[in-house]
Amino acid sequence: MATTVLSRRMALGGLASAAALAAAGARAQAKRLRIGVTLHPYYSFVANVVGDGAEIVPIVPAEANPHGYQPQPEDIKRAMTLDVLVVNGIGHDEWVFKIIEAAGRKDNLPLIWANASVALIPIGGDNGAEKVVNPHTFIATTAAIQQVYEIARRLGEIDPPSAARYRASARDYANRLRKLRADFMQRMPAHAKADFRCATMHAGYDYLFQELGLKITAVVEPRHGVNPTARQFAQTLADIRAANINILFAEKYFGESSLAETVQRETGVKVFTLSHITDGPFTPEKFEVEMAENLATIERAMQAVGP
Amino acid sequence: MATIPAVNARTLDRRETLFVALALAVAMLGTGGFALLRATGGPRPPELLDWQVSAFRDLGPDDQAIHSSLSVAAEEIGGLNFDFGDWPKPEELDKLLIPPFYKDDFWEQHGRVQWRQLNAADFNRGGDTSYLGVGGSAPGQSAYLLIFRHRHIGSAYTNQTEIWVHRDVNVGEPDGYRAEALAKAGWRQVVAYRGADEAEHQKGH
Repeated sequence: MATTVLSRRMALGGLASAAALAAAGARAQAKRLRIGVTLHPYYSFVANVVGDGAEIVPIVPAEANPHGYQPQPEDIKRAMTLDVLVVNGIGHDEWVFKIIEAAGRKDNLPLIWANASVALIPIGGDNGAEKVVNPHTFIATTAAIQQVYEIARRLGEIDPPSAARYRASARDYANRLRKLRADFMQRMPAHAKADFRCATMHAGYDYLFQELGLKITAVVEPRHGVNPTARQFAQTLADIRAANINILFAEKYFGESSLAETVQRETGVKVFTLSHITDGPFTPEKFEVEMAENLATIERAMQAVGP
Repeated sequence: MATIPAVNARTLDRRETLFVALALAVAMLGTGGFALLRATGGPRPPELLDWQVSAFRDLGPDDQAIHSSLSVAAEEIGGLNFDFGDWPKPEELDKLLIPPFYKDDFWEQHGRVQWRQLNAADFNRGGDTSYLGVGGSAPGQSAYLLIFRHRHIGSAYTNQTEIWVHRDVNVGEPDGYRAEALAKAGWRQVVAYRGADEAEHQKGH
C-alpha cells in the first residue's frame, strides 16, 4: 500500500534523519549530486533517471563480484564524498553498510532503498516447505521498472527542482524496458513451452522467468552463492532426470562452468548462460543490453527444445 | 503506443502536494513507526489479519505472478493519474504493454483474465478507483481487485493501492469498497512482503 510504504521507508533509516535529507537537498541546489550505486543495474537505472544532471559513483570496482565482496580502502574514500546512495538493500550489497560505517557516514548519508516497494517472491525450484526471499529484483524488467520509479521519486525528494524531470525520464526508461519485454513476448516460441523444462545454476532468475510466464523447475545451488555438497548435487542430478529437465542456465560471469559441464554430462541437458548483470563496465545502457541478451538466450534455449 | 490524453486542469501544486504528503507521512510514523520499532530484532513478515493473505507465502504461482505484475501496474497507473489526471482503462493499459493487462503470452499463460474498470475516482474530489479481473482459466486461480483509494486532505492527495483476491474466479462486482464489506463478501486482501520488510528483517540480524 503506497502510503504505508512511505512510512516504512522513513522508519528504515533510509532517511537517516530529516537533517541529512535537507542537507543533501541543499547540496543538490548548489552543485551536481554525487549519487553512489552498489550494483551495475543501479548505475543504469540512476543514469537513465538523472541523465547528465548528476554524477554517478559506483562504490566498488566494476569487476567486483557482489557475492561475498570484501570492502577496500578506496571504497571507503568514495563513500565519504557521496550525497546519496542507492542500494538493492535485500541482498548482494550488504557489504556497503560496512563501507558506510567505516566512512563515518552511517548517520548522514541518505539511502535510497530501490526495492522498498517491490513485492518479493521466493526462490524457485524445490526448497521443501521453506520459502527463501529471492533478492534478484535487478534481473527483470518489471521489477526494474518499480525500482526506477522508486529511485526517481526519492531523488525528487532530495532535489525538488529536478523532480518533474526525474519522473519524466523514469517514465521514458520504463517505456523502453516494457517494450524490451513485450518484444520478447511477441517473438517467444510459445509452441515450445510444453517441452521447455529448465533448471538454473544460480537462484537469480525467478523474477525474470515469472514475468515471462515461464517456470524454473530446479536450482542447483542449495543456497544463494553456495555450491552444493556432493550429496546435494547427487540429489539435484536425480531431480533433473526425474523432471525431464532439458535446459540448464548457467552464469555468464561466475566460475561454475565445471559444475554445469558435470550436470550436462550426467543428465544430457543443454547449457546456456545468462547474465547476472553484475560485472563489466558501468554504463547507462548495460541493463538494457544485457537484459536483451538474456531474453535472446532464453529464446534460443526454447528453440533448442521446441518441436 | 497509445497515449493517455492529458485531461483536467490541475488544481494541486505538486511541490505543495509533496510537502503536505511528507508531513502526513511523518504523522503516520506515530503509528506505523511504532509498529516497526516493535518489529525490530528478528524475522518478522507482516502480520496478517483474518481477511488477509500473504503474497509471498500463500498465493499459488498464477496468483503470485499476477500479483507481482499488478503491483507494478499499480505504480504505473498511479503515475499516469498523477501526470495526466486520468485513470487509464484496461484497453489502454494493454496498448501501453503493461502486464497483466497486456494480452501477451503471460496473459495467456495465467488464465486470460478479463479486466474491467469499475470505478474511477474524481481527481479533484477523491474516491475509489477499481479494476476487476475475473474469468481466469488457470487451475486454482483467483479473481482480482485492484483498488486505488484516492484521498484528499487539504490541497494534498494520496493514492493508497490495495490488491484483493477472491476464490470465486467469476465473482461479481463488490457492493462496496470498505475493507469490512469486501471481507464479508469473501474477498481477501493480499499483503506483499516488500523490499522494505526484508531490509528491516536483515537489519534485525
